[in-house]
Amino acid sequence: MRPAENIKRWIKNASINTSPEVNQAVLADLLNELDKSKIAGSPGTKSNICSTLARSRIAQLAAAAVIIIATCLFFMQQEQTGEIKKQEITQTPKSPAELNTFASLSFAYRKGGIPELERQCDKTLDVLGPFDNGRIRIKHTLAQFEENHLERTYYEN
Amino acid sequence: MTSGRSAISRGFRVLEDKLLVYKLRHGSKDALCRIYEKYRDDLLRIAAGLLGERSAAEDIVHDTFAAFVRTAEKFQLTGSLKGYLTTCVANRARNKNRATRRRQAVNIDDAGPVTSDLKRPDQWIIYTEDFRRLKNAIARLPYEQKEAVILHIQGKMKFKDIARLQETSVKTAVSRYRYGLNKLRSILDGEVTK
Repeated sequence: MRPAENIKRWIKNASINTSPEVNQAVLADLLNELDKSKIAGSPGTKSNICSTLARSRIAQLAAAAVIIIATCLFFMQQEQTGEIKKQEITQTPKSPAELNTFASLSFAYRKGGIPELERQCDKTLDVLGPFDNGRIRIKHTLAQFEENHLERTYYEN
Repeated sequence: MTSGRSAISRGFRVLEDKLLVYKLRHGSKDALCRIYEKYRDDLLRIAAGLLGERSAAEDIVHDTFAAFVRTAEKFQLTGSLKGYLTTCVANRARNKNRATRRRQAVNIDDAGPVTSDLKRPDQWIIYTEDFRRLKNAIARLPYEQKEAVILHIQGKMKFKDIARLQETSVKTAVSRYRYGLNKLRSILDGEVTK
């Protein structure tokens, strides 16, 4: 009986020959096929993002990470703008008593005198901010208050 | 030392294949010629061994190369190119074998033209005397055993890959190979004793 190694060697060494003419003809056919595929596939040679994503695992992970980060950023931004809007809403005067009007100031004065009037002015300043880029003083407020009062009495008379 | 050298040469081969595939993807004709010259004979030998029919083997190898060229643009080489092409040939040979068996099962009137193994002027494969003997002996093995023997010895495929191709376990692939080899040995011994 032949040893297995001999059989293996014999199978390995059993070779074939090929016809050179047919080799050339087949090669020419394949080259022709290559030319055809180049013509047909020329627009597709540009890298296609979708196919790259579909093929590469790393690209898939990177794309997933980008989508997650973008979603997080979007929600964070939405939350921030919501807070700003909320702040804006809370900063609006809640009652007419907080406005620096003749009525509110006179009400404050009647309620607690100059300290109450001053508190009222501070509140107004907190809500509306200073005008003329400078610090508002109680003197100016009183002057305005007086002016308004005079105007009012004039019109009443 | 020898295994180290063979590992290095295998590494070079893989590197060369990667380079050739890269060039082919960019439309290099030289790369196609090199791949064709490099693997043509091995693939023809495997196909002829699996099918035992010259014209069918030639058609399969031609179709494998043509399909490879058509899909080269999107082809990504993950293992060895020879392994990939051998698997393609083995799959096509298996399909062809199934179709032939089906054709043999139907009536003779419905059967298609039977291809002859006689010498034709446009013949691609030319058998050597050794190969002819091997072909005749191996034709007597069941297809799965024949496939395991040829793919492992001529195609240098691992049993793991053969098992995947045959959709079976590695153990089954190994035993198919052993049975095939033993049967082949007894066939050849029988020839000698005659």
